Amino acid sequence: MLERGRVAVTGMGVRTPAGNDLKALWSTLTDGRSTARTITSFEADGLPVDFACQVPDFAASEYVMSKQARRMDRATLLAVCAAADALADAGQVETPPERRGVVTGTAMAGIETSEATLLGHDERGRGRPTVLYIPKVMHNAAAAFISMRHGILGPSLTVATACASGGHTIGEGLRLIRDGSADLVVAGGTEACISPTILLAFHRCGALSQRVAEPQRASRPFEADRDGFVLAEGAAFLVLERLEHAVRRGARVYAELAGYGRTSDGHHLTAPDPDGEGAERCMRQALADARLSPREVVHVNAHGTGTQLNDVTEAQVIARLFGPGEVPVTSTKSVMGHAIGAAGAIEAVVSVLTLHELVMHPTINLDVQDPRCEIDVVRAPRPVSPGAVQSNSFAFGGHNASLVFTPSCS
Amino acid sequence: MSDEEIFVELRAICARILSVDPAVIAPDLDLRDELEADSLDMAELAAATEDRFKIVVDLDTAKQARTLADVVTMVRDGGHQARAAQAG
Repeated sequence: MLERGRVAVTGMGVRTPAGNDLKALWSTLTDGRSTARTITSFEADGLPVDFACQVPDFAASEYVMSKQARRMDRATLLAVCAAADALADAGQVETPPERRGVVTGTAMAGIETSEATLLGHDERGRGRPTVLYIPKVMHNAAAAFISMRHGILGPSLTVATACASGGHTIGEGLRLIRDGSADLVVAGGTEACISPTILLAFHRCGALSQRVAEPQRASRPFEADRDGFVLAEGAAFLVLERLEHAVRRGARVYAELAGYGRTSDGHHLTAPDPDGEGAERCMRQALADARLSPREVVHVNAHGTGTQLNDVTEAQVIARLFGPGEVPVTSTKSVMGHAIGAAGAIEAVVSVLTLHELVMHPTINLDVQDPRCEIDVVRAPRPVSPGAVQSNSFAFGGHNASLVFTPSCS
Repeated sequence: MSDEEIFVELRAICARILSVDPAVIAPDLDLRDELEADSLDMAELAAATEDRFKIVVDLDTAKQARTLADVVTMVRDGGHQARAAQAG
């Protein structure tokens, strides 16, 4: 079989509701501490859903000068800080600037800037854009700042596939290295979408949990009485590097990114194909790309949103692929909600940490499992034997992404 | 409004845009050379000037501005044009 380049994960950085560094993130996850809270950052009184998972204590001043910060939406600031941490974590890279790439993902980009500009300013329906409006709301803003900051002169891409954006960024990064376009890619997703309008919009399309009296109990993937997801924000970036280069420079290799699948349901604007046909093809494609069989997978980090439709469909796909109850599954969103375009990247980081720490973090708030979900959901931290970890992201629009990580064994 | 009063207002706006101490901005300081103002900063300054003084700034003129003294002149001219437009 044709030899192709292998790809290592050599650095990671995060800004999430569960922590702004890998250690804090992992500790929140393994402790199973919900990060959902009643919103206090803006006036949420009167909103039907007034809670979310927000990034606590986010300060960018150590990373970005105030003049540059004025040119960034919160989504870009989160991304720039997480990507800077990922590159610092990767150590001294030797890749020439022309051989470095960046892939960012976001569903809603500069929504905070959009709302501040467009809402309530003019009875004629005109907003009040500043000179910075366009560069602040454009979806590629994070890729632009990351390339400028880190001397990335190779390919730049921005992916917008709603809730699968983060997963797709990492897979597309893998492809850039495999196809010879780059030797190092900074890939990840970002979202800063917790605003009154977006909360209301997701609520009106029936996606959000309405458990306002108990925010910390609201995100309940695979639970019988789940009632929707909890909105979150955050950013996560991975440094992907040609394995032989990483080994040559003595880099720490967290894991290998071995496989990537991407398919479309071609079915509905918001609902998954009830048979999960597109999701199953996606997972099988990722495994085939990794040249692995399902029995070599030791853990699945599920998309696991806590919506009625996703969880049943995804669980049935997992049960078909691996056998009912045959592979342990967890949902990171039970702890930190659904960060939309960042979710897949955050969960990729969590999947890599699972391999690196050899522990699966628990899915919280699971009291009575939906009997239609015939899967082994991890309810307490559990050791994982070395093997492949698969991470799923399924989106509005029927866009699917699946990633396969394998232990570092260079 | 005197030129000095216009300058003081512009200096506050400019300091906010460039994230610098207003005290460092003199009327004839070259904003591009001395404070690293770029094209986006100058465009912001022009837009903020329009909003503050209720004038319409000619963008080609604004692009040529290098100092706050230049912008004070623009405000004066813009003000004349605005009044002329109202009178017309």
